[in-house]
Amino acid sequence: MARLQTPRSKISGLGSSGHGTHHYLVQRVSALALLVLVPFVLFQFLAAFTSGYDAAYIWVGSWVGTLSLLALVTAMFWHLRLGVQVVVEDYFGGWLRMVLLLISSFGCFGLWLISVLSILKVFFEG
Amino acid sequence: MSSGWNDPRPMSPFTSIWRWHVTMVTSILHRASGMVLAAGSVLIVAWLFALAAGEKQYDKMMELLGSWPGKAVLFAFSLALFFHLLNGVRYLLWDSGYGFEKETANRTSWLVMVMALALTLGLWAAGYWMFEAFPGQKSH
Repeated sequence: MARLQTPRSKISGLGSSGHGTHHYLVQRVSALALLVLVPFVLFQFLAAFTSGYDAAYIWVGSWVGTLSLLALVTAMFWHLRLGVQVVVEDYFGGWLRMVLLLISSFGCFGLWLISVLSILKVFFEG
Repeated sequence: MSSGWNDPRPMSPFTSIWRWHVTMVTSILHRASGMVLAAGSVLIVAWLFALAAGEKQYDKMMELLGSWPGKAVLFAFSLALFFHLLNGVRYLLWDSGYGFEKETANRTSWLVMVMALALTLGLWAAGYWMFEAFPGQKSH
């Protein structure tokens, strides 16, 4: 497999798994996205949260609500998965590390799917 | 560390032999708040799921979140969120080469901790005010 790589691509992003640079970049790009999305969503969420079912349903089902929430949960679970990976790799080794990383991967993906489906259900029903 | 760590070489110094300084506190809090937020992300998903499931399920979820233990968890979550968000800005600035001087780093450490607490209290004040201002909690 190494023979398929040029020497340039072999050294680029060199790290223990060869993806360190990419991990670093995605962690920061998702951080930037969240820096915009969290304040944007937070106060709309607070208004919806304190005003009962109907208000919450209308907000989540609106174009602004649906789009910002979809963007939020996507950036959030991506960022979260990378952060958990750093912590797991710092404190655990061997098979336990592998198990924890798998749990965090499947967990993040599953929770992301549930939230996306819930948001879209409200959007298309409302 | 009973997780297969068998490297006999000495590890880097533990926190026990360091003098505590404020940038160390924010660094540790950043990781801790990140883990709190990771666990708390389940709450956001549960809230969205309850909303999609229907009014009865939603009201049950809100009752749970509105109880005293529920409020305590939400308070911890909001504090962790504001701290992680503000301290994250510090790290993004550091990555771009700003604010890494010792004095600046120490000062911004204190700043983000105070601001996180202030914003959390502000959020809860706003939340209570909104709850009072729009008392139509369960009406149609």
